[in-house]
Order: sequence, then structure tokens, then C-alpha cells
Amino acid sequence: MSNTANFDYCVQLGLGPLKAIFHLALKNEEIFPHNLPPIPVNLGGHAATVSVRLLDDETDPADLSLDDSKHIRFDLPLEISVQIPDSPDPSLSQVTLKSTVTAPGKLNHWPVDGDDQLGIEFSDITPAAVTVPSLTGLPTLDSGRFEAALHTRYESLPTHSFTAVGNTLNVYDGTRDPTLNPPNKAGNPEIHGTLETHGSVDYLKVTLPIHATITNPIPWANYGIATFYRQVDQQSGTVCVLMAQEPADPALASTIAFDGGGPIAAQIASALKPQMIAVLAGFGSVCEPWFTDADAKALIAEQAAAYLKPLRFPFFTPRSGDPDHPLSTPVGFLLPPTGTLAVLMNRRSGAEADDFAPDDFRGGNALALAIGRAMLDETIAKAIADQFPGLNGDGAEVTTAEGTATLHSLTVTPSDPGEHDTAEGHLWTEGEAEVHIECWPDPDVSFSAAIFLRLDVVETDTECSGTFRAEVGDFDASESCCDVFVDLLIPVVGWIMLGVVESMIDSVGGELADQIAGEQSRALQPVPPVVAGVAELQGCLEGCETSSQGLVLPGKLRIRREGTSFEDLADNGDLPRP
Amino acid sequence: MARPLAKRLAADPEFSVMLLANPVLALEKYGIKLTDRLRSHVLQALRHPKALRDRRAALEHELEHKLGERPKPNDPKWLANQVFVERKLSPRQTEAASPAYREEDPGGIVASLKAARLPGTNRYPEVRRIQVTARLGVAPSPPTIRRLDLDAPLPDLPPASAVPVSLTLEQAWFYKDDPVVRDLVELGTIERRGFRFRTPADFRAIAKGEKVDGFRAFVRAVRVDAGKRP
Repeated sequence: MSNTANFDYCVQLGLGPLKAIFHLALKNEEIFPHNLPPIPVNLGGHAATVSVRLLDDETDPADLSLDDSKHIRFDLPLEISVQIPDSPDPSLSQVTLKSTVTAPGKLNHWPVDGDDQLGIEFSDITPAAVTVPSLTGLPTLDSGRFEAALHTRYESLPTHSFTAVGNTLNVYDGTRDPTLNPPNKAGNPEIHGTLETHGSVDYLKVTLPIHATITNPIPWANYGIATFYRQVDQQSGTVCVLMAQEPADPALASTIAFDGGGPIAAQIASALKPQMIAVLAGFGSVCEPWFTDADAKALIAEQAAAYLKPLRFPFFTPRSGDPDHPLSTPVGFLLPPTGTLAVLMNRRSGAEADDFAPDDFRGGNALALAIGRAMLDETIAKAIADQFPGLNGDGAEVTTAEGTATLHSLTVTPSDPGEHDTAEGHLWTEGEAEVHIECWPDPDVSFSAAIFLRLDVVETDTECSGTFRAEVGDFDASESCCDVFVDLLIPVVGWIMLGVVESMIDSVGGELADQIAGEQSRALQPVPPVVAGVAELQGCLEGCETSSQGLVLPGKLRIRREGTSFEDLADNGDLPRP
Repeated sequence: MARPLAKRLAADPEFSVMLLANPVLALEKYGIKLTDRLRSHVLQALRHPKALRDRRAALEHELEHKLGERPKPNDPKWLANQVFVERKLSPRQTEAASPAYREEDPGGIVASLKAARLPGTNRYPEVRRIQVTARLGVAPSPPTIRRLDLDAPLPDLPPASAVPVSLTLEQAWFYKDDPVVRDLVELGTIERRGFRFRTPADFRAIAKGEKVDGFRAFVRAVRVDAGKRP
């Protein structure tokens, strides 16, 4: 049970602020590049390119949740496009897979300009750690894609008219080659493909319009159709039709059928078949990107891990401002049950290996700061020793117009609700004093009381002002000398506690403005007011809770994008004009 | 007397706190009955330190001489009569105003704590777009009668239409430009600053725990060292 574990101070942020900072980091192209250059990959022996795009919009929102004490799980909508450059038309055969992957990011710290930042980095991520719950864009076997590829491949052939020993074979694809003589027959039939399954094997059945002109041994000419089956070969990442490979099954052998031509037509078809097969081989292999569900998820996981691995973004970026007095390294712990990021500063005991997570003291607040008991005790003891230096010797003289006393001891102990018959957390103040009375032996007085530390807050649109006010238990002191005593103690306790809180703000990387003479308060930022390169923060402390753990100051947090946003430009009237 | 008192306090330490409610009654409870002379001495010695005691006596003597009667500045009706009837001062609208109080800092403790505050860090020079300033400070000391500042300038106050029938010391402060009223306010303040001895009825109620005062809430024990000399 400890608010600050083995550290002096702890800042806790709720899930809401974490998400806000994350979304602002996502908008930063330098931190999260949204469009990466194509990445060359090898898919089943085929060269391919993969393009990764990160999304975060209303349709595909990114999100985060807390995995364990050191990992945040991010939901990242990714769009991955795969092209095979040597496919007949990569743009037509591109596969675009879309999925919201979940990937763990590790809470860590790293140095920037001499100060340590706390944030998330992905350096140890592996594809196995990325989950791909569902995806869209998975390709289906579609004869139309092969047909389109064959049209493209037809156009890229150097010739569509093949002559051997005076005989000419023309192959047609609609009107794609208007130079052929004779032109395609009436209706301009095109190359046509359909998928058929024979046995358990997928085949592309292709029909190819042809015209044969025979001069030897007899003149003969006729239009016809070549029909052939080519096996569809599905690999991881690609699906190919090997146009040069005649099936072994005789039932699927290539055939040529002429529209007419009498009994000789069959002989001519048989004679032309080897030439026809050679022509088909000229189409080469027609490959398209192809993924099964498992292949696609593996590809996305691999690409997501590769995309994330070099990335990192900060949540907490305290600055020292003085290179001679650097701040301690912020150490983060996540508290998943309550959705809290705890940032610990100033390790009090042990080494990094001994660090442990603090308790959640944030409650329902977006922000809360805590000072640990040991540090609070030290600070109070030092303040008392500084202000009452005689306490260690003959006592400290306290003189007022109403009387004088010698203070022999004074202790202030942060205490839990319920202790000392007091329902509320309090500072238990105890002491011994010798009261000086004329003509009498000075009596020794033992005193003790609960002091409540209040933070009165006034908030307006432009200001959040907190005022520490110490309050003693409920009794009617009236204007007795006891009131004098209490009246002395209260401002002292108030100023000691302000010093404690200012020291905490300084140590966690907040900002203290210069003091203005004659003013009881000064401007400050309770936590670092910027998350470097990402967001601007403004904390407002709204209370002060005392317990045996120390002090907790809950508050709220305003967050906005660092730099000029659309809203800033709109406010300033600087939006681009048409 | 110190030796028997020390013994008896040690025998019943819990009751020793009642010495601060009314020492005469508490001593009687401990079986120490004081003579009238000693009783008066105890009350005088405890009520004020010597400087305040002398000032109070001087003010009482002077005012009685001027007014022709014993001054009763903590009697609001008597005070209103003195200010508006005897001194013939015009009433002022004081409802919305507050008297001035001094900030007391015995031993300069608060000044020292203020001086020990951390200097400004000013670590983040970037232009801030969130136009909200957070501030933190310590509440000023609550006003108490003993800090009424008789040397502070009076505010300009419009005349009031009605004459008040009673006047507290805090309200009378707004008429301190009259020297007699100023003395009355000072005397009343000293009277209220004195050690407040509880009446026998209050003493009994506090002893039974039916009423809680600062001593009962704060002080745990009073001891007298038998060997200690005055």
C-alpha cells in the first residue's frame, strides 16, 4: 500500500487524457507516418510491393487500452495494399487489405536534449505480438481478374499473327489488334476465361478466338476457337495461371474448333495445336496477389510490427531547464483495473529492479499528484527545524503580545481518517510548551490537535486559483490565548504545505512562475505543460487529501494540440481563403 | 504552592486541562483554596502580560476620566450610545466595508517560509494556446480582533440614514478618527484579547465534556515542575 511506491512523488493520469494525447500523437506525421513508401517484399517467390497506411478517423478510429503494468494495447486501423509489379496490370490486380490490428506498446523512457521523457515505444514488438481480429479486402478467385490480365498480356505480345511454312495463325481479342488480316469475325469475340474445378483442382478455362489460313497442301481458311485449361496455382501471397503448362489430364487437353471447313478442319486443328500451345506459352505466367485469411493476417501482422518497431511517442516530457540540475527519470506504471498511468519521480530507495507499482489514488479525477509519506515527513521536519531552531536544545521561544512560551517539541503527522477520533484525514499536531507566567512556576503544557488542510479553488474561464487553508478541529476558541496559538500555527502550516506542494511541482517537471512581491499566490503549472511535439496540457489542482500515505492533490487536465490547429486559424481569422 | 499542586496534578492529570478554563476554580477542585488577594493576583497575572495590563489600566483610567463613567466598549448598546449620542458622530454606511487587520508574524516565521519558497523555474517558454492560468497560494490569516489595525487609513464611507442602536468593536473601528472612539476600540480589543476565564457554569460544562473549547480540544495536560521557581 503506497501512493508513491519507492519514489517521492507520483503523477497519475486517467485513461481519458492518455487517449487524448495518443490521438494527438497519431495526428503528428513525424511521430506516426500515415503513408509510407512502398515496401518491397517476396510473396511465394514473386517480387511484390506493400504499401501501409495508418488510419484514425470517425469510420476507423484508433484506440488504446491497458494490457499490464508496462504495456498499452493499441487498436490501429491499417490499410495494406499489395501489388505484384510483374503482374499484367498491377493497378488492376492490387489487393487492399484493411484491418484494425491490436499491438502492444511498451512504457519506457528515453533521453531527449538532456531530459528523460516517458512514453510508449515499440522496439521489442514482433509479428506474433500483433493480433488481427478481422479484416476486409480479402481477394476471391475471380475469373474476371484473370481475363483482364490476359487482355493486358495479349496487348503486350509483339505479334498476334504467327506464320509457319506458309500457314498463318491469327489470335484475336476483340478489336485490340485492328491490324490483323483478316479482322476478327463478326461480333469481335474476346478472350474469355472461366474458373472450373476438376477433381479438387481449380483451372482457368480460356477460349481464344483464332483464324487459320492454310496454303499448303491446299488453300483453306476459317475462323475458330481455341479452348484450353490451365491450372490455377495458389501460393502464399500469389495465385498464378501457368499458361505454358498443358494439363496432364487428357480430358482437359487444349482443343481447336473451327466454325466450319468440312472434314479437313479437324486435321488442320490437330496440326495447328502445337503451334497454338506455343502461342499460349507466350502469355507466360499470369500472377495476381492472393491471400487466404491466415496469409493475409500474417502479412498484416508482419507489416504492422515492421511499421511500429521504430516508432515511439511521449506521454510525459518534464524539463529541468537547468542542465546542472536534471530532473529524475520518470518511471511509468500502468494500473489496468482503473485505467491509470502512474508516473513516479525521485526514486527514494532501491534500484530500477526494485521499482513497483503504486496504489491508485486518482479516484475519478483526470489528474492527481501525490507526495509520499517519507518525503512529506522530511519536508515538515526540516521546516519545523528551520523555523524553530531551538527545538533540539533549550526550546524555541514563541512571543506574542498576548504572552510568551517556550516550545520544546512540535511534530506534525499525516494521519488517516478514523485516527485520533477524527473522521477526516488530517495532520496530527503534537507538542510540548512551557508557558511563561509572571510570579508563577511556568506550567508545561502538552497539546495535540487535528489540522485539516483545505484547498479552496476558484475556477473561471481563464483562471484556476487554489488557496491552501489550514483549519483546526471544531471548537469555540473565541479570543482566548488558545486562539492566538492556533492563529499562529495555521498560517505556518499553510505556508509549509505550500512549500511542500511547490517542491513537488518542481520535482515532477511542472513550472513555477516568478513570485510577485506582495502576492500570496503565484502562477504555476502542476505538471509539465507540454507533451513535446504532441500536446499542450494545463492542470488545475482541485483539492488536497491528507492520509498516512502523505498528500494527494486531485485535479483536472485540459489538453489541446500543440502548434497551430484548424481551430486556432479559425479563431484568428487566418484560415486559407479561396 | 507549586510542590503540592504538582503532586495533585500528577494524581489527576486529565483534569489539569481545566486550569486553562478557570485556574481559580480548577485549583479549588484540586483542593487548593486561594485567598481573595491571591485569587485576584492569579487572575490579573494570567489575564494579560504586563505591557498589555499597563496599557489597559491607562486606557481605563483616561476614558473614565473623560466619559465620567467606567468604559464598557464590549457592550454594543453602550458603545453605540457613546459614539452617536455622547460624541454626536454621524452614522456611516459600514455594512459593505471591512476594517483593516494587521498581518502578524511573531518571530518572522511566515516571512521566513515565504522567503524559502522555490524560485520560478519558467521551464517552458513556448507560446501557450490554453488561455487558463493556474495559481496556488495560502489564504490570508482570518481576521481576529487582536489584529484590528488602528493605524490603517479609514475608507471614505457615505453617511447612513439611520442611527444604529448597537455597535460592535469592528463597526466602531470606522469611527476611529475620533480620538475617544479610537481609545474605546483599543480598550475593547485588549479586553477581548485577555485570557478568558470561564464562568462557573461553563467550567462545569467543559469539565463534564458537555461543552468543547479550544483547551479541551487542544491541550492534553498541564504539569507543574515542583522544583521550578517562579
